Amino acid sequence: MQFNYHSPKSETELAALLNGMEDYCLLAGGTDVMVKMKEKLISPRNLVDVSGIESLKGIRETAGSLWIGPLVTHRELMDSPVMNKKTAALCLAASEVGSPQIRNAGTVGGNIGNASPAADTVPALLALDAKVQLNSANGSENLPLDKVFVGPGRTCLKSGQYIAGIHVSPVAAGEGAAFAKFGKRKALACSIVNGAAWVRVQGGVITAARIALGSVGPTPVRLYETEKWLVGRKPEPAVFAEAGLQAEQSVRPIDDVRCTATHRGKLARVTVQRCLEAATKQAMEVCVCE
Amino acid sequence: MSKRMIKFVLNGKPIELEVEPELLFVDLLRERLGLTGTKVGCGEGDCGACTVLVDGKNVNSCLMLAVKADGHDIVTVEGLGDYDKLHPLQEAFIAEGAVQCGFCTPGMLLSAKSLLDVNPHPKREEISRHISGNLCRCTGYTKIVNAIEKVACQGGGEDRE
Repeated sequence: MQFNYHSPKSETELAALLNGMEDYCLLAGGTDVMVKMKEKLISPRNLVDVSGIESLKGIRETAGSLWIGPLVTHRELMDSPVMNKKTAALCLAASEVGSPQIRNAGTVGGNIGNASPAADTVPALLALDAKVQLNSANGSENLPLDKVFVGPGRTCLKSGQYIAGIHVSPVAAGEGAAFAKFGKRKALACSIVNGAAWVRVQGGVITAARIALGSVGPTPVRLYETEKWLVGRKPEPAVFAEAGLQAEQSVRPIDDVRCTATHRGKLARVTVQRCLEAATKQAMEVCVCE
Repeated sequence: MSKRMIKFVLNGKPIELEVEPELLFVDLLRERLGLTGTKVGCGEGDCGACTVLVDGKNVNSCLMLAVKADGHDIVTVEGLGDYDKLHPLQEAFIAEGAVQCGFCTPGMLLSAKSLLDVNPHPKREEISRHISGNLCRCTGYTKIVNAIEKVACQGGGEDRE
């Protein structure tokens, strides 16, 4: 490993540093970047350690939204009282990342920036309608999370841009969200398939839904067609089963060392079915959250 | 690339030294400071043999640049106990037969300590889950969990005075 090490202490300093810089990689918890550098998959000339920037840390509740700093670790996310109350599915997803050691170092922003199709927090974030704020010396833009991923390990971030924050919608009364993951083992297992669902149930019918799957294609995906199909339907087993079937038919997974494409399709079906079942169950519970 | 000055607390003692930015924290410990209790297994954050505590939390020191230690409080297995005065976890590991080849033991002890420090009386499954980032290919884990549970039943892992 050989690189120039930079450790900006503020976003202003970071934006100025990245402006015009060539061949750099941002470093947060290091649980992906360090492995890639050791395996010589990447060898950036500049390593920019953002972990000392205070304004990228913490979780804040704002009107109708929750702000997650990109440097929030998976451990902080799974331990956060406010997140457990308002986005328990995301906390569950964070608790499924790697191992305790990985969760103590790895960050949510890093999980997004690394753009692994198997990232565990991403389907949960997608189901919670996450928006990502991208900043640079030239300004700021807000993007829906699913627009950020362009391929395995690749994001739409332009040179000079960094993830400045993540907004998610809290799960309100009459709504529910769930996350599920299939891995080879109970811990330290890269997901074979993971997924999450969010639903709103009013008057005994589903009035809105969001479904996301990971590890079934080059990027995590939203199942927009199935989401639309669900609207106006009753939250019942036959509907969940049909939604699962649609998921199986729409995804284009690959064969790899962890699983065959065919089996991944079946797991996608089960994941969607189970997540919808759990999410609607939560949505229809008498509200105890206030 | 120019060296960087870092300051941190290592096993209770303040330390200040100059490091190359590409130096890994585990290599700083083992090769420069002679603290070879911290092991390198996979080198990729999978096995947990290199586990150290950073501000009380277990992390893989093989994935950590030495410069990142700056400003933190770090505990390695050398900070747990010594030959004359073992830490209760070390005594329990020996008594329960939780040590075979010993390669995972330092990391296992530190992960156990990081659990008991915040949750002195964990359930068995909480113990299993908390050591899930520490691989042991000898024991089958049962005796390791027994040892940690034994300390938990004795009233947690607080350091003996």
